[in-house]
Amino acid sequence: MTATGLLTLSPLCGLVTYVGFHLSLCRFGLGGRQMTLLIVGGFAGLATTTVAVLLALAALPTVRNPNVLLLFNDAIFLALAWCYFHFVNLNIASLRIRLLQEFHKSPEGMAEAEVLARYGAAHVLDNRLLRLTSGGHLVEREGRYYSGTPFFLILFELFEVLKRIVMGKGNSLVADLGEPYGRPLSTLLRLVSRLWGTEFFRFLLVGVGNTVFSYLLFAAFILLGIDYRATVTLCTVITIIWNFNTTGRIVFRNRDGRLIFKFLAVYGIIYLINLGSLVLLVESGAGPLASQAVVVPVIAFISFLLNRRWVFGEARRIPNGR
Amino acid sequence: MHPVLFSLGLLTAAFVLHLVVWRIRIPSNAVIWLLVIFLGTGAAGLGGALALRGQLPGLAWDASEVLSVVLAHVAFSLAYIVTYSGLEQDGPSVTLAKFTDMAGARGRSREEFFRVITDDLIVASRLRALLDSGWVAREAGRYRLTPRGMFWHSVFYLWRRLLGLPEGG
Repeated sequence: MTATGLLTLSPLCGLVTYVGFHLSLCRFGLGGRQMTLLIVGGFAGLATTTVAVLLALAALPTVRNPNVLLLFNDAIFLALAWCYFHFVNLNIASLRIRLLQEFHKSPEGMAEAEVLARYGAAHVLDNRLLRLTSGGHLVEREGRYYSGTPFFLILFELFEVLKRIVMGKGNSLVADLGEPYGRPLSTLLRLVSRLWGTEFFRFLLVGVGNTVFSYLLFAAFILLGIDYRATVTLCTVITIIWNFNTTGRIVFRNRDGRLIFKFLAVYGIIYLINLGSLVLLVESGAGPLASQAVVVPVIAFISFLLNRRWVFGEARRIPNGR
Repeated sequence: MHPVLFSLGLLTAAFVLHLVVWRIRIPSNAVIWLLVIFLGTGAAGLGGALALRGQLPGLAWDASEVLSVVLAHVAFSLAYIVTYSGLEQDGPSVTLAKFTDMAGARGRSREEFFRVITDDLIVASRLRALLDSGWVAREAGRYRLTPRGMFWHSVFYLWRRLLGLPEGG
């Protein structure tokens, strides 16, 4: 295959990897929940697309806008990956596909009453409640159900916006009940407050806050007339201590100061992964800006996992931390 | 014009046309209409660009760039069309999540959920959608799979077996 062909077909290479990887994980019993397997497969497909684009760009040094091409092909892959994700999800959650199964079991056909007896509202409700509670989206206590993690609420609000744009109306099932439905601003505030209850969201927000703090500190030292080399050194030391405290206290609710050495080790690992990936991508022909844009989400996720599982995870098992 | 910009322009034009048609009337077989609108806009736009490339040097793309535009347009269009099914029918899971959230600290009992999950709202509406899409036919009061429905059932059944999934729904 020519380099131009590889560049053009890179999203399809990614899709083939995604499907193959996902099927292998399912068939060979390596996985856990479908959502995890689909996300892992998606990352494998995205990595394949990126590598294919970079290999092609390395062979085509005169190509225009390599950064744009990298992001464009990754976006095409993500669109194709969304279609595959949806296709698998239809097998799991679609009522229509379930009805097809029921009709297939009855070649002589089914009256509506038979359909409802075999797969009616009670059956659907029990299926969904089981799925939502086992996923932590709803919490059951003494026969009553309460909100859990806000993933489906965010989906609801996103679909609500899209529905209003496209269909001209919102979700009719809950809008017509005559109960307080939630104004957009109060819904947004409640969602943010619920999201604040999840570690990953706090990790992202604290990360943004730490970056702003680090830059303000740098600016303050420079404005005070301190040499920029000394400023970088000072800022690095202060920022690490600051980040350790905010990540521990705010994100993982853990005040154990002895974990700073593990935290530093994670800093080192993330630095090496960032540097290694960036060198690999830039040497392959991509621009440094697009390369870092591709790398940042991946290292943020790895950093979160390492901090959650290794640095702060062990101590969190001690009641109330320390 | 860069193929990336052209692809985004084509997609925007298709989406605007889709909104205009939906404002006039929402078709009963929406997916077919969406395919016609999105793929038709893509074919017309790309055909026009190829016809004009002699006059406009910005459109003088090579074969791989044309293929890239086609791939992008098809991928983004399909991604939107599969998302559309979530707009067309209110999904039970998101509805249950919202309905529970509306109750706040009171929570909901299983019985309360039957206010939003009823046979008519959830199951019968899907039956009507299957009839509209031609996957199921109704004869003498009984529903049966049509050949098209049988084909799609086989596709999903095969994939479910490959993945080792239980019955869904």
